[in-house]
Amino acid sequence: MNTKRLLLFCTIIFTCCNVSYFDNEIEMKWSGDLNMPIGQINYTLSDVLQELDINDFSEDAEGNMSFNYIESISGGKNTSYDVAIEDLSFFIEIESPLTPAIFNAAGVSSPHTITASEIAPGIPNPLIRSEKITRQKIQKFELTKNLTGASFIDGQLIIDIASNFTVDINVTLEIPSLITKSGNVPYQTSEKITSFGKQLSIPLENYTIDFTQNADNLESTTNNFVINVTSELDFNLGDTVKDDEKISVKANLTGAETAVVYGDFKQESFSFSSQSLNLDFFDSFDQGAITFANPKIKIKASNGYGFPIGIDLSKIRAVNQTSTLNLKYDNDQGPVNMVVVNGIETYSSEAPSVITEVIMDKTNSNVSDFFSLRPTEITLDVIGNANPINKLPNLNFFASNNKGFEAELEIEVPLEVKFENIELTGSMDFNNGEDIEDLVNFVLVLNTENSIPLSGNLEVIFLNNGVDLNVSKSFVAFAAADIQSNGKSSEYKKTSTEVTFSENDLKKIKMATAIDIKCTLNSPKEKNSVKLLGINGLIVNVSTKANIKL
Amino acid sequence: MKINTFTLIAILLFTINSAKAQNTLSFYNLGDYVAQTQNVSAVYLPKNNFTLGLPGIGFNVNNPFKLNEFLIQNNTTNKLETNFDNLLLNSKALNQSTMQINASLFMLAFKTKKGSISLFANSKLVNNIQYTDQFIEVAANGINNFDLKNNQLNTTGYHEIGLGITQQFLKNKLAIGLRLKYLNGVAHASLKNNASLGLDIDETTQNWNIMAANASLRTSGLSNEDTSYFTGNNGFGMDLGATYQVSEKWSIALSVNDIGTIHWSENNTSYNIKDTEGTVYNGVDLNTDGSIQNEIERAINTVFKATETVENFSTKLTSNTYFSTKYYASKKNVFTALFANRAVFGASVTNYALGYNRLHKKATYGLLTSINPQDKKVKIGGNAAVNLGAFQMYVATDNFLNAFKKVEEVSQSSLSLGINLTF
Repeated sequence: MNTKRLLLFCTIIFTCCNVSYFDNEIEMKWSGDLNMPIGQINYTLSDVLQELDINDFSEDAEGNMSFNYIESISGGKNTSYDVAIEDLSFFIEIESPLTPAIFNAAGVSSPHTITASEIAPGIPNPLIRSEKITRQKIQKFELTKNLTGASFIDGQLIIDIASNFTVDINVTLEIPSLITKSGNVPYQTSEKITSFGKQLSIPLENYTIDFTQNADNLESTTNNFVINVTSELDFNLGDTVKDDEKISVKANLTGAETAVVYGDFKQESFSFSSQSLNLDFFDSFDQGAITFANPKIKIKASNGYGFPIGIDLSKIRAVNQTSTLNLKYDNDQGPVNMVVVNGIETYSSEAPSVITEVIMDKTNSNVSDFFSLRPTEITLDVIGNANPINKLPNLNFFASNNKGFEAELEIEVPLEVKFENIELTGSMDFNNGEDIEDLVNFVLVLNTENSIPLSGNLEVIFLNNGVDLNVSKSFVAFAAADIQSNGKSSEYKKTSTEVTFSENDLKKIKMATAIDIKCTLNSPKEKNSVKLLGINGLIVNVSTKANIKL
Repeated sequence: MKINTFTLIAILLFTINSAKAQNTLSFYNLGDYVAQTQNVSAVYLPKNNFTLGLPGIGFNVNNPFKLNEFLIQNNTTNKLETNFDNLLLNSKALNQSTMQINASLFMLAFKTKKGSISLFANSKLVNNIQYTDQFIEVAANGINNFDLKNNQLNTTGYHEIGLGITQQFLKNKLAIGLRLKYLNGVAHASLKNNASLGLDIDETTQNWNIMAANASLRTSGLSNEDTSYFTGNNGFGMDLGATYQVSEKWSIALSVNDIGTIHWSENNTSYNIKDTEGTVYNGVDLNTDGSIQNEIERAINTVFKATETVENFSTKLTSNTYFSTKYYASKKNVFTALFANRAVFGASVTNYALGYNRLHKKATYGLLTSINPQDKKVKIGGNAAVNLGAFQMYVATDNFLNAFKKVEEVSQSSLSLGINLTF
């Protein structure tokens, strides 16, 4: 090989390198699997309820759950029980026993100064005598109630005693209707009444009043005011006497205010403030039936009045969108549908209100049906009256300063339930079309561990501006946990589910704008009810088996 | 002795079954005609008094696959599309990929009375990758169960500037060459020895059970920080060589190249996965206000206990050894039997070749057969160096056929070429 050929060979080698291949743009193409766990959600039932924005539930130490609603019922104004003691005036006269006839018998005319002890020997002067005369006045108060008593805190009883006797007269006033608070004895006073008379002012705040006083031969009554006036007349030698002398007693009861009045308030109506109660819990469920095994309504009433109050429950209604159900309560101790709230039996300004608790449950009411109606609202048109059990008479009182009436309606619905295709629905926006752009197919793997004795089926519906894209997926998300004889779950139940989204599904899902999720819950069909505990948990492990194409 | 060229080719093809070839083997046979052969043999007894080397290039690529088996041209878009499936199809249980690029930036060689002195500057890239079919399976099929072992990576780019001396002894029968080199590391990436990473995916839950040992990647100079041409990664290296003229017809030669170390102290980052015999990743808490994607990334980092550390380290150069014997059939015809050895990932890669060169005063050319011990494919290479006045042109390849093929159609290729000024 000569030098020229060798040079040609070298030149060819130098220039033969063809790298035009790299003129083309390189594009990354790849398809492969991505099998990986995404993560887990660990929900207790309490968490689920909070997610559903249901907050009206409580949980005891053992995890037993119940929905609790409390509504207060207060008494209305009920002013009719506050009986006013109106002003009262009355008049009593005790005339001199020295009538004209006696003057005639004494052979003197009125006026006359007694100068002789005998009008004839051995015949005493009839003008000389001692005599005690009592007059009783029974005055009826015009009151709105039949009262038997009252305790004053203000007011006065002014008694004006006038006398035209020329001699001083001892007058005794006894008011059996007016009882001293300090000694619990009737008011009584004795006064020497001159011709100038005398005024007595009795502050009523020191007294109670006994409206039952009556004439001695009559039974006790109500609204009566009794006063006895006794004058002691003693005519002696030297006294000037007349035949028209008398003692006048005028009494004015004014400005009386009472701390308490006693009486029989019969079965007068008692008003309550009306309420309604919204039950958010049931708003979360769409379709299906739910039966509560042991719901309760407890009425805890605090009665600061001196009379029992009957609450008529017949106007408490469960209301849902389509129907209404009245509460029924069968109470052995009182009238049907009536809750008897005892009052304070003995008045004391510091007497505590009487607490009465009544529980309505499946044994004495229709509360199970009441709540199984899935009410969205409970209307509380509560009416009532005093003395629901009429004792004839009823020993009642009304204190002007009272603690009133308060009642709490505590609804306790334990989650001991039977679920039949109860649906929970939710919707979420979806704008992740780009994120699934590279997916060829996608298998969503759900491994759940469930200690809730409810099974759950999920239906996922993909929508484009409200139009179903026909790629809905329905699958068993979790099976119900087995339960023990007490209705509580015994252990976690495992479920494994794979949901496959084909390439065609994914193409449609890319157009989705929203996802509707419907969860259908069922308790085991063979069980009447199961107990749901707050600690019941649902562990959802989410993983994926995806094929990706880049 | 006059040997017909075609006869020589026939002889070489006949002997190919027992011969193995290595890249740069053919270049090695240019010997004293080309000053740049000092890069493969330190002994240089120049034919010319003075050589000024202009920038030249030499590269060797040994891949288990052709480029167009991985980057497949789409006839519609004309784009080159990656195809890992094809890569997997063409993978063996254990695959090795090597690439060596030697850019000869400067060469100045003087002939001395008893040998030569040379000054040189090269930029080198040595890239050795060993990967298993499981590794490619992950790349091709995605995240499934895998157990990645025996995968290795060692890539080093560096500059070398040095001085070479060749001196003859024993009445010129013995020639010893020594090259001392200052090394300056540009970039490096290497996996720790015996690195392994395994993933076992639970069939039901898809939970990952991760096993890792020695999973650490040391890098230097790969960050985006601006670096100057020379770095603070300094090192020292040397090449040794010797030839001995046994008789008028026979000579033997031995060279050991690239003995040296680079200390990497600048722009270093080590990416580490903590050793674990089984760490479970079961996802993240989905009940989060943050981005689930971010949570997953954070959790996976935590599970893998991935850390980035900055630490200095030293690496040895990939040394190679050549041993050859030449038979001078005549003054113009020489046969060479060549044994080469290269240490890669602690294993010795041995190669054999038989070559023939025609020797002229101003030129040489020859043929060489070699076989790669891994794929056992026969390759025929050639070399030539010719002086035309003051210009010397040289070229060598270990695979003639591939030299004329398109770059995407070859998996193994070597080419060394350059131009010198010789006087």
